Amino acid sequence: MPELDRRNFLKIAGLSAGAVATAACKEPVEKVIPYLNQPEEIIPGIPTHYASVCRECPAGCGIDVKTREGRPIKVDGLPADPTNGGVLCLRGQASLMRTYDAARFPGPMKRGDDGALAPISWDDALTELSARLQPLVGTGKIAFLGGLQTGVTDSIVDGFMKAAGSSNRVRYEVFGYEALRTANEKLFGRAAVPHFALDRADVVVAFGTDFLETWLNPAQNARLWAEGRKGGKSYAAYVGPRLGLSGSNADQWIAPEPGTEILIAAALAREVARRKGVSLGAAGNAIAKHSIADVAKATGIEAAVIEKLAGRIASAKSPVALPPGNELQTVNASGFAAAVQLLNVASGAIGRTVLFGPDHNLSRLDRFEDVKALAGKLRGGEVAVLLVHGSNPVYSASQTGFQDAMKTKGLYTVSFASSNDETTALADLVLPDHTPYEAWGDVEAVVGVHNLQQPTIRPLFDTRQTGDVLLDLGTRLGAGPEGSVQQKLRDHWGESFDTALGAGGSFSRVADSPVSFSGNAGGLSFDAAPIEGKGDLTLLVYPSASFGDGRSARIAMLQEIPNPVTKTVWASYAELHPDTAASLGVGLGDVVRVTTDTGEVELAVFPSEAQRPGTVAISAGQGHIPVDPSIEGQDPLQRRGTIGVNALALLPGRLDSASGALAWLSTRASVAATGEKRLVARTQTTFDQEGRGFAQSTTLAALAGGGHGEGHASSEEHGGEHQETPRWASASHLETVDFDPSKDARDPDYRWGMSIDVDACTGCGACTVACAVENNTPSPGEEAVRKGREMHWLRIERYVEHHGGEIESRSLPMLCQHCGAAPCEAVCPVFATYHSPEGLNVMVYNRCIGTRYCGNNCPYKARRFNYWPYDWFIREPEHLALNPDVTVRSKGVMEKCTFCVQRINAAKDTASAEKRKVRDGEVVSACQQACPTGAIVFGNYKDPESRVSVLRREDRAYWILHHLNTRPAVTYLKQISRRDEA
Amino acid sequence: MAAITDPVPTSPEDYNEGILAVLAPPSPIYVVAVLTMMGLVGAGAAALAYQTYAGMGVTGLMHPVMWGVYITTFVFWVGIAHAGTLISAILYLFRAKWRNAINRGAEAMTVFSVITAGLFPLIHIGRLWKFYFMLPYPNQRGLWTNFKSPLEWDVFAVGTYTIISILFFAVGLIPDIAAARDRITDWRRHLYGVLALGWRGTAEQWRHHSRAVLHLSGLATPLVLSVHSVVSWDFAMSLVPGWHTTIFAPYFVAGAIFSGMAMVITVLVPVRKAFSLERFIRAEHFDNMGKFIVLTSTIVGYAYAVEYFMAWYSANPYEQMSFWHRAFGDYWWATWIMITCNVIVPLPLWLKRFRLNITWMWCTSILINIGMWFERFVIITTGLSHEYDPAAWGYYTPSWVELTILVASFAHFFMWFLLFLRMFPVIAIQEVKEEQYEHAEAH
Repeated sequence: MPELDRRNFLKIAGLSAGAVATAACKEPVEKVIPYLNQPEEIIPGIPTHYASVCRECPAGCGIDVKTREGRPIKVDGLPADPTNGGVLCLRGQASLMRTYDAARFPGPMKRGDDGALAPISWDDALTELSARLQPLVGTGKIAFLGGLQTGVTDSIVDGFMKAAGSSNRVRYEVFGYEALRTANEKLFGRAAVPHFALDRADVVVAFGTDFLETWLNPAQNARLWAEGRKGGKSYAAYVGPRLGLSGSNADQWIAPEPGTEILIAAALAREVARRKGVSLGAAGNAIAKHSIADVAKATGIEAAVIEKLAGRIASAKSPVALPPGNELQTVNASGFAAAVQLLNVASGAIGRTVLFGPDHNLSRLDRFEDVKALAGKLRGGEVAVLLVHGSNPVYSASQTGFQDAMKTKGLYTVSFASSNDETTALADLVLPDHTPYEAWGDVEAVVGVHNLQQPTIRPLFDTRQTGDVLLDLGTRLGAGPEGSVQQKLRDHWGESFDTALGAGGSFSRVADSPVSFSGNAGGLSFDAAPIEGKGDLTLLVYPSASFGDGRSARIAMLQEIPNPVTKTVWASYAELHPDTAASLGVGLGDVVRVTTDTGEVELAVFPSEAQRPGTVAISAGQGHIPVDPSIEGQDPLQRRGTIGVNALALLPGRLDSASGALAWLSTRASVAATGEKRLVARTQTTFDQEGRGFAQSTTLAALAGGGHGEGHASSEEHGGEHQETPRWASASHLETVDFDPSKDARDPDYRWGMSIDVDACTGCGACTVACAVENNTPSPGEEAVRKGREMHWLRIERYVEHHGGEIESRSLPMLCQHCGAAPCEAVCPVFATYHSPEGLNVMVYNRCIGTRYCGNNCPYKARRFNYWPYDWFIREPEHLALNPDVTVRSKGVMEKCTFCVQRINAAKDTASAEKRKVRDGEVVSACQQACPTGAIVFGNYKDPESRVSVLRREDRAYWILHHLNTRPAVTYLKQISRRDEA
Repeated sequence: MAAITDPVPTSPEDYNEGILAVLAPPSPIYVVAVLTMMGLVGAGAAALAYQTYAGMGVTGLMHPVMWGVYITTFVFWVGIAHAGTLISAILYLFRAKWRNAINRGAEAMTVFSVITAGLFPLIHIGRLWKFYFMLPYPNQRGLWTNFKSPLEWDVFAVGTYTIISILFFAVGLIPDIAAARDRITDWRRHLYGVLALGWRGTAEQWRHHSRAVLHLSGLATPLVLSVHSVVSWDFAMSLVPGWHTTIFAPYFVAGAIFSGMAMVITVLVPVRKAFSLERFIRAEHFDNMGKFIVLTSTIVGYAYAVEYFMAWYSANPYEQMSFWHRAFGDYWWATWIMITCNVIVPLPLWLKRFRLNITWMWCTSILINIGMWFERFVIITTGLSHEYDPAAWGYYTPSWVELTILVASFAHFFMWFLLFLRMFPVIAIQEVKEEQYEHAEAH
């Protein structure tokens, strides 16, 4: 060994110290592995789009699935689909997360003697199952319970049942429209669910119809609704005890005594028929006793109000009355639906705005009473093997006693659920289905609209498509059709298969087939429905916009979306009118026990003036068994526990005898304080905008007169009327500077901006979900929201204005305004946020050190800080859902809306390759793409003819906090108030 | 009630002996105190390590209140620092002789509180490990800092202040360190030998020293006004209602001197007692500091009133709402603690009787410290919690991590101060000597 002198020693010491130090600083290297054999259609970095169909609810919207490197990362509406027409609701947007759910079954499972599920191979599982089925063939002891299936998918189940020699098949959906089908059958001889053309309607009367939440196809409804209301057209009244999302968007709210809503419908039908001279025949006689005066007395609604509404309907060109949603499904639901349809007959809506022919394919659905009958059969030992697919009766039809029925001795149950649910927890064998993004299938949700469903990712787990399993089982039983779902689809579609696959299906508009009114109501009663049971308050269970019948509740992203009315997240609340709450001596966050004849739950109170006094409202869809009780460590997404309560279990199980539907509005409940208190997790603490002019409105009269509106509402005069300086500001000698695209963006061609129509915005939250999926924003969970740390880049603010005793809701999407003179930019010490040449307010995550000064200085509060390392909480395979075009932010940095800069850059790339400028409409932000009402428009202000530039010049245009001279790039268009000038 | 006695030292040796006596071997109480402080600093460091690992989520910070206890504490300690410079530099220039007995302690306080304050911007940021992004230095990443940002001004204001106050402190210490060096025999002799920089006490050295002190006083004087003005601009330059106001600079400077004086009293009263320094820190000192407190308390009280007046007079609804919320909203308690401690509690000090009552002064000073911490808390938190967008209002509650670090900041300050007490003369020997002899000659 050579002599180590001082010099060399220092050299070596220095080098090794340096090496150690630098190695310690280095961030972990991640390798990018290229494809060994690159699939032909996949170019890394370029998305591939597939047309498919959304299976999150039975509405079956056509979807465009954007995949990157073989994994779907974003879902949007398929423009070619005539129903949803390119838009998708929030549940559809989030449905992708179901595929990447870490708590899915890894493969088939068999319940052991210890009651726990243990893995089993597909071969063993199918052998065992077919051995059990074999002796039962032809005995009728095999039952299949599923949701709505149509097309080839449906016929495969039928084929299996034929092979099994059993007719015990029940198609059950919680939203089964039983009453409407029955009413239509009696009135028109067609048990169909027609199309309601909201786009053509100039007066809409909804009877507790949640047409923006779950009713029929909410995405389509929202699209048509906005179409019909464009420019201040159309007037809507909502009859029901509680304003949900749909009710909040109506112009008038009529809240009769719960259960008597039917009388309003009957009185309106009678009065409109009288005014228009329409004969309602025998049915007319049946409602003849419901004069306005009598109904006014019974319902507690002033006669003048009913009279006025009747006049409105009678004089309207194309009015429509929407039959009751589940919220108002009483023990006389069929009578109620018939009364509404009579109103449609009287007003001439049938054939004009209520179109039979292009029906929703729901008439094949069975009814709640059929599930009850099935449960009876299970208990009676008439069924030996029960197969459950796409249905969760233990949760959603607990009144049938399904839970106990499944425990019947000798009953063998098979669940096809891809992740655990209440029914699967009692199953003996689990044969997990693919998620819809992994599977083949087809849907015909509306007659004539055939959607094809195709896999967009290789199955992540050892799952099999239930259709394939049934075909296999059928073959094993020796009688079923052979092949696979894909093969069956191919056979069915023949030569047009490939074309249809590319287009998403085949879409034809079925002609209307006129129905004739039979003239009698087939013995339906038009009397008010009784509300029974112990207690002082009426229990209102309402369908949830985020969870539907509860099946979407396990998607964390949807739990994170605030309830559109209460703005609460992640839990169930007992909503009480403030007066009712005060009389019970409870307030916000006080835990109460809500008891009905069938059950009791404990939950926190949320005082809400959006409902009638004397009622207690609870959202349906929550209260599931824990998603993944085995999870260890931090559990921000509450996978270990139950979120909220199952409000459906409170319903005593009374049926509407005519239609066999479960009555949701049928029971009273008692509410008692427990003395406990919980912190309410909500994204907004006040609905009063303090006259600050965030969500402004104008009147039709003001618009017609070219005026600036808002003049009538003195409460809002602070907030910056149309480009005018507020009075107090001019008194303070403040000068306002106008927006100037040339000043706010150095780039000669582009100044990106947005326009949001407050009148069109319904507040549904689809944009928020789309933004979260597109931009990888995390869902930090209930505790985080309690602390005010929700991470959404785009939030819907809800403001309530009071007009006498009436309330008016306004929804306002709030996001980064990309100000021309952005307050956040000046205060960042490290230039982590700066103004791009194209006017964007850009955030450089790498540069951010987290002083949070920008967040403080943003008057719109659009900035979100990464308080936790949310990226650490992502569990495999959830990471596959991340959009590779958008950085996943680390802890300690600020983030906010980027105006989907990745989409802008993609469009600019395309444009520069084609040597042209980006065209108007070429860049579509994620929120804009999702918005079912087209309220959001994105574009370039430097192009004076672009849509955003045109909208900026509209009379309705205003800018939030204009007087601060931030020169926001988001133009808002005022809501148009249609209420009567008092 | 301890009456202030006024024994006067008799000889130069008495000064040396009396003051340097504090350098004698420590008592067990002292050791326990230092170890306690170190333990608390350790707890704070552990909390910070946890925060750095887990993320800012361990704090109570939220949308919209993204600044909380940390920035409050930062401003608090910067404010504390000011009294030291005021006493040592401005009063030096004004030849206010009474300062001599307390200026060393006050300067030390300045240094330790600036150091404590300087930690907080780092503790506060989300990515502590990238703090150097804030320093403008040429780098291969081609990145620069934003000189428009008040936070960047802070970097310079606090940086400059730290350097000047350490220099001022060190230069002032030289003759006394030399005295200590000549007296001490243990290991500290070497330390003092280095720090004394070869001081021999020659006329030449004295001349240079007094010029240096004079110049440094000149440099430090504007800093008293500028540093806290800059810190106030962190708020005033923003557009948050309740922050965006022109009164902030003078208001903050007055508040800084107010709180700084209070802290000097808080610290010196026990020191005086423990080391029997009654001969040096005398009644007149408390009397004068009491007058300063009365003056600055009045200015601060006036500023509070003006803020509310301006909110009303501006007719600006955002401003009005913010101030209404400040007094009667969620944080009413903090606001009323602030007003009580800063405006009402000092009122008796208008009377000399109370200024000369050392127990009264000490209790008052502690309440003022509490009140001034809450002043910054109120400004920061109430302003942010009720900003422009009603849908984005929120309520912030500090977490245990923040409170641990807050407590640790006090421990950090007192730890250094305690160590200083045993290492260096707490009273500027040469200055009190000068004062005494000038006083004697005058007779």
